[in-house]
Amino acid sequence: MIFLTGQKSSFYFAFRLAWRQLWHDKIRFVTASFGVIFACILVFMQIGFKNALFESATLLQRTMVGDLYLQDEQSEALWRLVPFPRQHLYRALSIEGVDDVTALYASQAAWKNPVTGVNRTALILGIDPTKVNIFPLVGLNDEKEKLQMRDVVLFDSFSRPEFGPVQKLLKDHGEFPVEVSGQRLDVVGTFKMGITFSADGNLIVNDRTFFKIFPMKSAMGVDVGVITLKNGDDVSRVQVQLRHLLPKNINVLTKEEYIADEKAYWNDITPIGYIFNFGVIMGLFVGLVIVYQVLFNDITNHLHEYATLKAMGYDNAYFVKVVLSAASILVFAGFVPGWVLCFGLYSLVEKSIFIEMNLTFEKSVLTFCLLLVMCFISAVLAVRKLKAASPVDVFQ
Amino acid sequence: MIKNDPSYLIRASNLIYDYGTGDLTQSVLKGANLEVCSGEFVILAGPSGSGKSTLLSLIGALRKIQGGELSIVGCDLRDADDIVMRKIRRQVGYVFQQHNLLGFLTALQNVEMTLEMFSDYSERERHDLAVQTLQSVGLRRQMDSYSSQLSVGQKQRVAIARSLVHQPKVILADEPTASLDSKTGLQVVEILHGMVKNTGCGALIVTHDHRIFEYADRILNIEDGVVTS
Repeated sequence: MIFLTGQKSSFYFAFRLAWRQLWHDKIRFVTASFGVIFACILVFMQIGFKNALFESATLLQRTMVGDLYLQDEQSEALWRLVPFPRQHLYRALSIEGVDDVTALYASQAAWKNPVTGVNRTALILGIDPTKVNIFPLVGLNDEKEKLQMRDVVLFDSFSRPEFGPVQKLLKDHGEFPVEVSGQRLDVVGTFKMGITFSADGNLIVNDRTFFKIFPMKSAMGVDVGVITLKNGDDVSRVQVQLRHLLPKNINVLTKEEYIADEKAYWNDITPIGYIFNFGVIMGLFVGLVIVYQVLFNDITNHLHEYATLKAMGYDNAYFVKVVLSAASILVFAGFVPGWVLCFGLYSLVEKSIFIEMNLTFEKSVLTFCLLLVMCFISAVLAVRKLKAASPVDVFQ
Repeated sequence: MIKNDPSYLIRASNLIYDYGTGDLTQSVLKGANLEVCSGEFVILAGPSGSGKSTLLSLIGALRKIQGGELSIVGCDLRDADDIVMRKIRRQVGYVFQQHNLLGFLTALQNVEMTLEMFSDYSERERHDLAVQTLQSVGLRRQMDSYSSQLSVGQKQRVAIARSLVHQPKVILADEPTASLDSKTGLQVVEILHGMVKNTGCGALIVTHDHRIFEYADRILNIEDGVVTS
């Protein structure tokens, strides 16, 4: 209504003044915007990398269909699992509401590229072939019958190309032999999962084959226990009962807790989370310095004029609004092209690292808010000089 | 105690102002007395360091008074807080030695800035009043020019238009002709004089420029912090 009646608020005038000031010197405006674009790209990329790390690290956990998960408390992450006695998993069946339990074995081993002979590290999942439905992965259901056979392996077609042209070899020659941790196995099919920061490729084998690859491991020691409940049963109740039933060293986790646990490892225990967070802070700091410099120079160059406006009756609050408006304009001017650039950069990086990088709405909002805070801090720092400007100066 | 007489726009009585403290105290105003009535064009002259600018800044509510009494447009400034001081400033039209126009605004936008402080104008009214005022100072054709495109004299006239557009009750000018050639300087003074005579506001002009003394209704001298007729 304010605009319709022709009466406009001081916010409108402050914003308009800020816009006119920035727009008047276009080269300077573009330079300042580049500062924000730079910060925007840095923040987006760091958040993107961190998110890709978490997404890939928890890929298996998010993929698995289970209501509760059992792990030894000393297991730090999927690639550093400590087995727990299988009997504890079967004891879970005694709890009312538990429908089924599945023992999952996981470890890493060297895969020899069938063409080049170069070894790459792969995550190998061992499972009872009849329970393979806990992984609703594309292609896996079609291949599960083959998994019943001895010494066969299913290959993740989303693995890095360094693993060799597995799909092409399968298509051209049918089943073909590969070497995994020195054991000869036959590749009989593929599925689609995706790689993680800890492994460049994934394989699924039946439990007997798993122990052939890892002779030091025992079927009595389960790496992850997956528990499915009868439809509609209360997860929290069963979780509490299991905690009472099982020894203290067995963690009973819901799916959300299991995912959070894996994330916490990468974020808190490894330096990777810290490195990405530090990258975000550095990006924001660089942007803060650039925006502060632009705003500060604008204020310094017009200090006498602003002092004149103060002498005419303008108050400090008006100038705070002007500087905050200028900061907001810079955020928009930097964020929009920054977002577009990152859209391209994300797909470029995705093609290089083979890990999904999505420029989601949440990431966009988070980055925008961080940039807004960055620019507002710059504005608050810069406006101190303006507040100190005395109208008396115009009489000196 | 100053009596609240509406015909007096400026009344200063026994004004005292010191800079510094202790042994470094320097008294600039030592009991200055001054009155400016409605429709009066008063010139204040005096040598450098006599206290002219300090007196002007006190009258313009830019500083708080330290001693004596001061009333502007009927408002006692002795115990005025920041809000009152700002209200007073909005009733005063300042013309400074330097034009201090915002270089990124056009002449028209600079003049409109004054009116944007007041919520009682619509966008159209603001525009029309600013155009009208620029016309009265002979700058109708230059209203869309930036200050970099204007001569020094034109800039000073824009600054005057900015000071007068809201029809202030008091005009304060500090050496308004100092940076102008004689012809433009006289034009500027004529504009200020005309405004005083046409609207009934009061003007206090600080100047050394003897050429404009003939426009004055009264000429006051200030020397060593004391005002004399």
